[in-house]
Amino acid sequence: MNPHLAERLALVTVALALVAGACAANDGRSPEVVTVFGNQRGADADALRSVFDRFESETGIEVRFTGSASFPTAMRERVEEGNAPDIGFFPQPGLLKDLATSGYVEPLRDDVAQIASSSLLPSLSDAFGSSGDIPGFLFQVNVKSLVWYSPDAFAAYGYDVPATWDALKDLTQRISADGSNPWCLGVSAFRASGWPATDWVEDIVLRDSGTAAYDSWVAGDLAFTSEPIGSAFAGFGNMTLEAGSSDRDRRGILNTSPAAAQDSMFTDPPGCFMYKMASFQRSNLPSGMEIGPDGGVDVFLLPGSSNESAPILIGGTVAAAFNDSDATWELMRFLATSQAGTAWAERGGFISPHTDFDSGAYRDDFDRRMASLLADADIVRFDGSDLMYSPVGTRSFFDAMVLFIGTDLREAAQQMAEDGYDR
Amino acid sequence: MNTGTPPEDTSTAGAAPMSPLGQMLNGFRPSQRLMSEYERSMVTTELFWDTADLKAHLARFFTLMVLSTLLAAFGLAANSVAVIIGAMLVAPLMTPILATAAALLVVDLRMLLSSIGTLASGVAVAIGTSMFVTWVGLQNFTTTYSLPSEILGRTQPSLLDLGVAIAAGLAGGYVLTHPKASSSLPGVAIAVALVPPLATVGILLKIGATGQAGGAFLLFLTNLFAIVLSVIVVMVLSGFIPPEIRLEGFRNARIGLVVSAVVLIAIAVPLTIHTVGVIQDQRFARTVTIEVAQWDPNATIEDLAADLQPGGRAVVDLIVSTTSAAPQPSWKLADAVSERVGSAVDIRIRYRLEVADESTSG
Repeated sequence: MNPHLAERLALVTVALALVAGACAANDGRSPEVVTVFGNQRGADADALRSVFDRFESETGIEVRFTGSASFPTAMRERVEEGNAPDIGFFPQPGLLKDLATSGYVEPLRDDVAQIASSSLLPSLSDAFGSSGDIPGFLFQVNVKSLVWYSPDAFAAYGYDVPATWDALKDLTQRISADGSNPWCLGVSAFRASGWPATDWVEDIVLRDSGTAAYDSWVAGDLAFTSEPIGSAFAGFGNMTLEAGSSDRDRRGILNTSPAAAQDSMFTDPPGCFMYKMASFQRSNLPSGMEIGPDGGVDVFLLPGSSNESAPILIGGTVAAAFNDSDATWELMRFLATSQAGTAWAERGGFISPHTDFDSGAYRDDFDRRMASLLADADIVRFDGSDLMYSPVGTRSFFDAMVLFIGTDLREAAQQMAEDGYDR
Repeated sequence: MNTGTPPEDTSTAGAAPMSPLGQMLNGFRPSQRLMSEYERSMVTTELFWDTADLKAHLARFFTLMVLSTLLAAFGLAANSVAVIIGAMLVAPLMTPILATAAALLVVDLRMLLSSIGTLASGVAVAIGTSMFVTWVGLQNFTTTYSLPSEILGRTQPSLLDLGVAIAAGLAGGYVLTHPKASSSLPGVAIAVALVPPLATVGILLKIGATGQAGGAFLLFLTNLFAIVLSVIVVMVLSGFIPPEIRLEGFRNARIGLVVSAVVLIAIAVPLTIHTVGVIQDQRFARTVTIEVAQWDPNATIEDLAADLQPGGRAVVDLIVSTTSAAPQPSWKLADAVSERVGSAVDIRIRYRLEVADESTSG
């Protein structure tokens, strides 16, 4: 490193979608405007725009949406500066809870809560575990406990989709023994670097220690230093960080983005065979690649530890109000209805949390498949890092994973010995 | 266009109904001036290569073509305007282009085909040579980001380039038909550079930037057809067409004019779209610059790419350097810019935080 000048390049992406005054006021009044702040950018922001377009044409209320890649930081700043949007779209219910504790959030109006909960998928009723009341409702969800793989590569090398956690471990060892790398992994994401690894740990806690331990850990009652959590960290390390487990070394994993980590799965021969990543990874697939048993890529559910059905980890968006105006609640009421997301679903990448959502509206079979996986699941939990007390969940936990991946303890000890500290 | 009607009728008498273009050409009737046989032969010997020493001519042509392309490629790579101008002066492409126009007018099919053939192979040689040079010597050019401005500047032709090419083509035709003005020929060659755009095409093709290579080739086509069109006009006006084949010569002139005019119009469409786009982007970039100053007074813009895309989406890629460890977030700028331009905006900001360490010794 150049000793005179350290240069740090930070990167933030913001997309903003805004509609021009589609609703010229009837009687000279300027139209009411509701501001919404979330993390959707690019195509997702466009899809969300189409949802708001429908609301605008029905009500004449204008919606301004801004989406930021650094949503957790930016949202907290906005609220604390007194510059809160009317509605927040939270991928981190934990952050929402923090802000509510400080009195910034409008409690959900009864009628809105009623609409949102009346058709909520039963499998989602315990998704927030014992995290207490969250003053918002789920607008959209994604499935996180997925493993992406190439059916062609599996067929060519004679690998079968594992049905149990032990079979997955065996497959991992077998691919290693064959001289290939079983896992694709990349965790580089600016301020959120490390998050894909937190999903790994959460999924393992859920499988090895069950929902009681998971809920108590997420609620802050079970320590990170406790045995279940420690062994989940170790399990993640054994599976993906041992030499030959992943197509990248530790430094490479830290420097590769989650979107790009899959790329070596599609080379010949494959650089890696499996990629544990959420359903939204579909938007990063090589263009034109079909998903399915006959496509270029397919998914299987990360298997459960025993014969019982696999628990599913989800992410999603929770809508919450920061303004008590009628226009704000009008939009909240609209978003709580089960058909509000139809316009987004038609564009793809939207999975509804409602029982009576019209599955014909989904753009393709993959989204429909995700919806039915979710509906049929026995155990569903929201992503722990997003649900925890947010300074821990979206900072310390991320940092811990980066540190864990970056530090090879055995290698460090070896180095110490070679340096002569081990006498 | 009226090219479908039998030419014999329309061109014999002014009385027959004529298209606007026909009328225009009719007006070009060189009643004022007709070139003497001697003057005409001066031009044709210059342009039409004798079969006897065709080999020598071609050898000279391709030698100069390769050398000119080498100069152009190295000049482009070194970002040296002087060297690129040298390449323009050495370039021999003007001869087959003028010969194509002249052969059309004196109704010499053999010469027409051989001129077009020479031209096409010259183009192929130029692109091939610059690809080879890139492969052998310019291995540090791997991405479009590392390209010198002289190369990038040739990938986005605008209406301005079309204007330059037409004016230079007129000058070229004038010099050709007025041999005493031949000292101006180097100026013409510089104004309608043909080899540097071709060398740019080769370099960009080799590094896989096909889109930008297409832009450079469009620049070449712009120059090529503008010259052909202008030269035909000047030659007709100068009475270059011999009286004994006047009818046929006019017909050919008309075909040549129509073909090159159609091609030029076809080229002008993307050029116009592009020019309008550039002007809009520049205006948008100015808006962004103003908004950045209000967004964070401590931020200095180091690089800004602002693009208004069709469909009303605006994309901004920004690098700012800042002395603040807590720079302003990008969403505030996105909100402000979107408010200003009234459309959706995607903004990506890269912050460059400079940390200084100083020492004194001795």
